[in-house]
Amino acid sequence: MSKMPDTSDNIDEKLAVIRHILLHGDRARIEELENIINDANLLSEYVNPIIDQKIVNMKDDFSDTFGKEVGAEFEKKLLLSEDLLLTVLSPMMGKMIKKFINIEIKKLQDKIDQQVKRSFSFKRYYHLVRAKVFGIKSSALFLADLDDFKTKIQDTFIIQRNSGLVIASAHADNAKSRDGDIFGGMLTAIKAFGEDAFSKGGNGQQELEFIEYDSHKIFLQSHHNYFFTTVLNGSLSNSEKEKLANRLMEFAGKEKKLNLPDISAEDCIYLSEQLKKTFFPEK
Amino acid sequence: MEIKKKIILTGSFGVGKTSLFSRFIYSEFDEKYLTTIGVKVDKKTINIDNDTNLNIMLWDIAGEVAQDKVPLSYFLGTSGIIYVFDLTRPMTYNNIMADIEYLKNILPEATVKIIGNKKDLVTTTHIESVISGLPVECDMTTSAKTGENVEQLFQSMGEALMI
Ligand SMILES: Nc1nc2c(ncn2[C@@H]2O[C@H](COP(=O)(O)OP(=O)(O)O)[C@@H](O)[C@H]2O)c(=O)[nH]1
Ligand SMILES: [Mg+2]
Repeated sequence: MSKMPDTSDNIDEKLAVIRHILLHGDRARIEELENIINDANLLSEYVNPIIDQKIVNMKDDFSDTFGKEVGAEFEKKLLLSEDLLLTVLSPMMGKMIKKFINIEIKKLQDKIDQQVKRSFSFKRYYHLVRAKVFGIKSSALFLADLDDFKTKIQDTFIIQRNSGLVIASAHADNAKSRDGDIFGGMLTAIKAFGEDAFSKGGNGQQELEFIEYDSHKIFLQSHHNYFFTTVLNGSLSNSEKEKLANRLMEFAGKEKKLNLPDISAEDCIYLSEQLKKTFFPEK
Repeated sequence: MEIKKKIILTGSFGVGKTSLFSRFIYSEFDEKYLTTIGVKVDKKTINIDNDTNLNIMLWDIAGEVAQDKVPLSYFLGTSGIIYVFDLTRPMTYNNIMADIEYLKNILPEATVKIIGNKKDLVTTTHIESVISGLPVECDMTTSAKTGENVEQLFQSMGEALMI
């Protein structure tokens, strides 16, 4: 984008104008973020409060989150020694923060793309004018209507990690019916084989998170004994992806039964009902 | 009651695993899944008694690989293992002891069935001599070609898993 395009009646050109205006501001924002990340002092200024908050949170619900894994004895020791706690948590925290920043930048870029790609609407035009008149940053205004994405979720499955057996599932009313068991098995196999192939040589355990085929998307979220699989149709922005991830996290946090090594047939039925309520509520 | 179990087919290349699989299951997926992805999962429901159905999720794996070259994840979470060898080829059962030990080691809880396949190609005397020479007990002999004992194999596996 070298020069500011002329205004004309043509919608494309109008879009180009908007693109120019939008990207101009947001690119500066991206650069600013990049500067922050590259400068250790600047970064710590932003990140330290997050770490502090995390530590406070960790202390508060440490036993809820890690209690089982760590074991009562070890947990006691950890809680007694703040230094030790920090030693254990710091590398993890570093990773979390890096991931957090990456996500934020991607989110920003993604948002711009999405907004620019969307067809020209009065609502947006109105935002833009308002932004110009009142000097409000347009990206802040766009944030407001991220909520209006329609749900395109077709199916959700909870699949047992190794066996690939489907523990629970729920489907949109208009979803194409498919055999969940075979789907779950194949997916587990593909996931396992893919992870096996890509983790060779690397030390970090990579998990397959996303499969894209045409307009279909399969979103995977791994947990200790199981993983969620969400089949979606249509486009999915990063912020929508994140929203979905959060909803699944909430579900996992709420349904403690999922952590049992063996889930009974009754529990499977119960979990399917909960999935249905959460992802396909009756209108 | 609906119960689900994962069962895997394993054994050397060419012993007839895929053939047994397709004898047993009318497959919804094309064979090409097996060659492109390396694995194929299918389902068959076995009626155990009046109010119990067992859904067998059967995993087949492609390739000529040795047991310990197969990704561990393929075996995990498995309730039943069908180990197939070829009655006509000694190299498919010469290593049977080590293979079974390997499997029992990673899946101590799983039910293992050892199967001699391609019985249509050999005589009864040949079968007897092969089986008596094995360091492990052969549970059944089958023919994926004629279908002999194929249903029985999966039925007996299903029943064993319900105990
Ligand atoms: N005669 C005969 N041939 C068989 C039998 N089972 C498999 N085969 C043949 O053996 C070859 C290998 O079979 P396949 O199922 O692909 O073996 P896999 O590598 O273990 O999956 C194929 O040509 C099959 O047609 C059997 O019971 N009898
Ligand atoms: Mg095969």
